[in-house]
Amino acid sequence: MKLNTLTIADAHEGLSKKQFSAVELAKSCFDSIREQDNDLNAFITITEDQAYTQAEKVDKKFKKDGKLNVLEGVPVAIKDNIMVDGVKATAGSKILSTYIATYDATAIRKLKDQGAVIIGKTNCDEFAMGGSGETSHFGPTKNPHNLEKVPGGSSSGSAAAVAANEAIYALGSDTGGSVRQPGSLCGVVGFKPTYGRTSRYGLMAMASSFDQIGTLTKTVKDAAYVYEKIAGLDKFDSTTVDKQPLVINNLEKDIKGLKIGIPSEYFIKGMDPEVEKVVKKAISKLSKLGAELVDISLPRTKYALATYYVLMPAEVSSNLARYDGVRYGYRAEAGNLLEMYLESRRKGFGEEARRRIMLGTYVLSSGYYDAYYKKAQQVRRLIKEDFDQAFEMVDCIVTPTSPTVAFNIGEKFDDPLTMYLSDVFTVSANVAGLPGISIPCGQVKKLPVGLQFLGKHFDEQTLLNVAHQVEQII
Amino acid sequence: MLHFEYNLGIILSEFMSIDKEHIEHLANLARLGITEEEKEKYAEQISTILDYFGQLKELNTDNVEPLTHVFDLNNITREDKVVQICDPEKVLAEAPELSKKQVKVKAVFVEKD
Repeated sequence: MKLNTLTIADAHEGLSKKQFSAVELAKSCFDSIREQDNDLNAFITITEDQAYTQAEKVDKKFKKDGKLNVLEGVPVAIKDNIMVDGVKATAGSKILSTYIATYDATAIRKLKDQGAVIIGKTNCDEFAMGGSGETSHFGPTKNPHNLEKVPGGSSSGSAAAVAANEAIYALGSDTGGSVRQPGSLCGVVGFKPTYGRTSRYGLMAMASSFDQIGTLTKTVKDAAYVYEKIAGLDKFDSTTVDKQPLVINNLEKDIKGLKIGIPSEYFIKGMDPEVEKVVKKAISKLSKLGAELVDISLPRTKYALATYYVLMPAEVSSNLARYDGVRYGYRAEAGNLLEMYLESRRKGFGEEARRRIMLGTYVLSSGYYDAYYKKAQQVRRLIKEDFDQAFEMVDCIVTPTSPTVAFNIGEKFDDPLTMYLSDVFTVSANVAGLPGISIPCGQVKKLPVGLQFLGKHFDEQTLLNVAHQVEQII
Repeated sequence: MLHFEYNLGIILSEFMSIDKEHIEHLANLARLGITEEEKEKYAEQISTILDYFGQLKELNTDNVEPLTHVFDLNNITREDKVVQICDPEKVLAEAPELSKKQVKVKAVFVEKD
């Protein structure tokens, strides 16, 4: 048995029954990384020494007291825009290529409290900006199903690492689909909780009113395990909420009688017809589980992408202002301070980061603020109201995750707008702050297709229950 | 290549495209160095993206309150007390240049001939 292929649940069981040790489990992941990662490029940093030290600690402790938390001793990979104290955190950018994190993100502290074994930091689009993994300064990550294809983005390395069994699970971040879309393209489960569930403290800010830490796992149950441990109120993030994130005990409940909405706006012209077929087939299985399928409309859906691509760069342009070569990160040689700023940011940021900074600067500049930024904020409210109304009729919503399967590396790289369209089905959840999950539901041309569920605010319980039940029969 | 229905939104003339000079101005505001070649490329790309945003004009948003955050946020206050959350030495070690425990930068003002 290859230990690295296990789920969290199975790894925990094996550890508990002393079938293998945490050290052996970690070793299986590092072996897998050594074997594959030259091709995949899923990792930026490997933390082998720290991981073995932690795994030994777990083994020793378990031998002594016989107790084991579910995540204890289980190897996890962390997206490189999340801070792990003492470990390099580049966010896929040249401007942070030598930066060592000086503290733990709250999600990391919580994982460490559970005894998790952190095996490394994963590649991602620069500052989580991209839908293909190609904007990383450290080169593109490849899709484990086909090395010529992108893994999706921006949590490209996290998704690829889990899909290729280099890690048992991974953390990612989702601002417009960056956990769910690569989950879909790599054939793993990508879960983004409700905005406010997981602390953003120690997650490098991209677009603060959209960002949320999420999980990449092999099963919905694994997502539930991790989510319960990392969610919760945090005094370092004033947007977190004080609500219990309990979901595990609800997973096995049958979903008979639950109403699941199918929004017509998510089955659009231009979507890959084969993907649509696979998705529709998966949806039809929901009725076999006794759920009631309800046709619904989210009329403002078609404006979600434009809304997102106005508001997000605006937040990006201010959040990325901190990378100026002064206190940390890359500093270019220059004659005076202004030149130093200009050159550090010219050489330190990649193309997409610079494009979004300028776009954000534009929509916030006087004279255009009302036409773009304020307008988009108003539309954001209307989109949220669409969902509020829909959720008066249904318990959750089902859609495709991505309009296509994984595309070729380089295919959309020079055409930013076409690239942005890969987020067309995922951005709405972030615009409205909803929880969303993508689960694998089949293949087209030997590449995975994802099925997305969107839930009510703070109702991860129903969302994961439905996703788990569907997962069992797909 | 895919064509999305969404992509066919009417391009409204009120949303002007932007030129090289405009890009130069934006880059300067954002403290981004930029080459001549890039100015042209960005002007073209950003114009296309702004055209796409034009579709938002179709929606009537009169009397709609802008939404800044999906939930109502409350201020969270704490006592104004100094606590150490990370090691100052480690933080300073990240600075590209230090002088007596202070971050050193190039001159702000340049003498004119």
